[in-house]
Amino acid sequence: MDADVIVVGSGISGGWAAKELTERGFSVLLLERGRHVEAGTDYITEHLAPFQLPYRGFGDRRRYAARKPVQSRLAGLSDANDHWFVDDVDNPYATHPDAEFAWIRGYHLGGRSITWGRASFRLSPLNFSEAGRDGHGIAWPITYDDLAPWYAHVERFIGVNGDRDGIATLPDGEFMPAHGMNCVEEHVKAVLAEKFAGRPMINERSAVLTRPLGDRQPCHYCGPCIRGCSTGSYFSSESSTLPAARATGRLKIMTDAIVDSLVYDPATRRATGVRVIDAKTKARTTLGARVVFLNASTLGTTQILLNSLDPASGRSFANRSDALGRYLMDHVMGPFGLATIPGFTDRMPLGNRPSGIYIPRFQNLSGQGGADERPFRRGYGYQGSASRQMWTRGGEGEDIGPALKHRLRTPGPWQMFIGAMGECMPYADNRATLGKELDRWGRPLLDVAFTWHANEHAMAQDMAVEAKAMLECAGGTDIVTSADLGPGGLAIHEMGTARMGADPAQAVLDAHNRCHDAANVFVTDGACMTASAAQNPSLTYMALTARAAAFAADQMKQGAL
Amino acid sequence: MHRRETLKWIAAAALVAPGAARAMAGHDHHAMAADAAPSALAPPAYTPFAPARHAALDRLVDLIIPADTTRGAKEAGVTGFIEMMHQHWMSPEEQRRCDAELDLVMAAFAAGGDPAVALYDGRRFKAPTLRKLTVYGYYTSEIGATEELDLNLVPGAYDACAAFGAGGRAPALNVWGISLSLDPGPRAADAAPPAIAPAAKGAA
Repeated sequence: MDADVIVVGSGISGGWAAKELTERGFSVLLLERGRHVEAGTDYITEHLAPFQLPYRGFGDRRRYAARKPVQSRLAGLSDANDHWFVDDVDNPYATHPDAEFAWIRGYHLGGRSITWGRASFRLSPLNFSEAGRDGHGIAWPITYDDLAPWYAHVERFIGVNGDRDGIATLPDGEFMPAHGMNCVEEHVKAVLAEKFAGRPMINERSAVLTRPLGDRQPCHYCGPCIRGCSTGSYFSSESSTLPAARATGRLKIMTDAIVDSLVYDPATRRATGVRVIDAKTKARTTLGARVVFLNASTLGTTQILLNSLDPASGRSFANRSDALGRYLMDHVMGPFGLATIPGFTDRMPLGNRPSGIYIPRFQNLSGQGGADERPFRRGYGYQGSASRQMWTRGGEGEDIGPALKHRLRTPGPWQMFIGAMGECMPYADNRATLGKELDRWGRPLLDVAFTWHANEHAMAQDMAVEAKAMLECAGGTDIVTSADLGPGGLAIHEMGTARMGADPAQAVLDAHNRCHDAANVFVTDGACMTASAAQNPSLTYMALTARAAAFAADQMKQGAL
Repeated sequence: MHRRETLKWIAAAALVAPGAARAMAGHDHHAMAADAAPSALAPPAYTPFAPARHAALDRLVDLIIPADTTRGAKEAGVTGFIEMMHQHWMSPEEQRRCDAELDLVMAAFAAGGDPAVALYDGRRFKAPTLRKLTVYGYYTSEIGATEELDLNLVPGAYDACAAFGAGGRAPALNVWGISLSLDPGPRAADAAPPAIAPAAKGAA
């Protein structure tokens, strides 16, 4: 045995598994396929000015075309942050022109917890029960009440700022004070309250501190969180869970350690080890533990499980249901509305708030028909913010000389942006499989096929229509909307390929995130999600991880594992 | 690194004295600017344009953003920024477009007269790509960001609706990142495509 528990992946859920299990007295070996990152000192672009970056923040686009053609599908990839996104040539996967999936990845200690968007919303009782109401997808094997105490546990540790808004379909949590809305957002909020019943606009709930928490300092409002935060003001594995796990003295971390597969013993129906490849030398070794937590990201975990064969059948030990790899979801994201809001020019936010506003889902809530009913299933919400136009508006126009310089010396008009994010339904043909080709470590390439179906397209149209209606009511001018959906993956909320469900014939994982067919293998990253809901999912991954870790710890203490 | 400690102080101060935090944040910025940036973050080396074209670009960028109470685009190194982007960033089509625009500019300069007139076809500026690059190069330069606009890399506090009065400068930092596209977009000044006079091209 190399440890009581092997945790595969150091991102937002793997960090939680390491923390909870070490704090309960168990030794943890954390395997990270990417490089080591030292919190703070390795945040090499933090607080750099544009003129301190090689391309001023406009990105090294020739290198992206050659080496990061998928990662650069992400708006905002630049020379300020491209070290957090993988080289697509070195880390290939297969996808399809007519079913393209953009797999955005960060292979380094801390994973995508360094670059995440930090929005932290609970799923609601409705989200956990909606399949039972509308008959689409399968039922979650847990209820909101099962997870609620773990949401609270996670919120208290990561630090979430927000307001207790009292919205039944967006449950309140344990919050620090919100950053607060600016005057234009307050204006739009008041318009919605007056003219759109059932559409409250609230402060986004975000895992950024507005009060000190342990060694972590409140936000200093520099703005581009994606570069890393040396004060630990936003939650990441690096700022929070890994230091907590290290403090127990029971954490060992191996970086550059790629997990190929699990060793499965059909006699005991358990995993007996983890096959690991040294990313640099390609040397292979097998490590052993009582329990394995897979937190390698939705598709990374799926790739490992698909490649973990039951020697008796020659097929993945975790795929009796044939659900493994299927039901891939990503949030319906892309449609937006943008408008100029006249006035308020004597006001200007000071400091760069790392969050914005949220308009929770307002469609199909009652399930009884009525004003909120739409010609599609489930629903969507909006994130957004109001801000003043900056000097970039000077890139357009025909003026030069003193007039141009004078025009750009002060901020431009206010604009209100709202971008939608909606629930994606689980479809069997949105699927990851193993291909025949091997990567340079000898692992079968993951092949990912994903398309939006009619429900998502109908939702996207509605997102643009409603955005326009709200911005018009708020007095917006020059309104621009879009209903376009890009390829799947760009919400970076891929999930669902090893879903939870009570029936082993339909689902990979049980109510404790444990493989139906391996009592000591837990999956608590996005792969476990039975349904996507419309909310940003990371908080739910963390709560599910903490809950599953507590269960695994109890099982080990009782000698069952 | 002192940075982490400094920021702890700033963050703590932000709770009690936003003004002090801002002052400290400004100090912190200068301290950091003096640090050598990691070598991987240095801009790539580039070869300047031929002397006559370099001189014309120098003149053009300073016409687009001249010195007034603050220094202008030429002193901010925008010429070199455009030359670097030309060599390392632009597509072949964008390079050709920039080259053609610079040809037109040189012809206009050679023709004499008021360049502010000669650089226009009707209401259309003859070099829109170079104009855009000048704007983007200037406001991301140290002079453009810190002298002309207000660069505050670590504000230390947040005031959602601060008063913005006379004499205020726009912030230089665009938090969400700046995407630069040189795709020729629609131009408000004229519905017709820009007329490029063959004679002017030939004269360059």
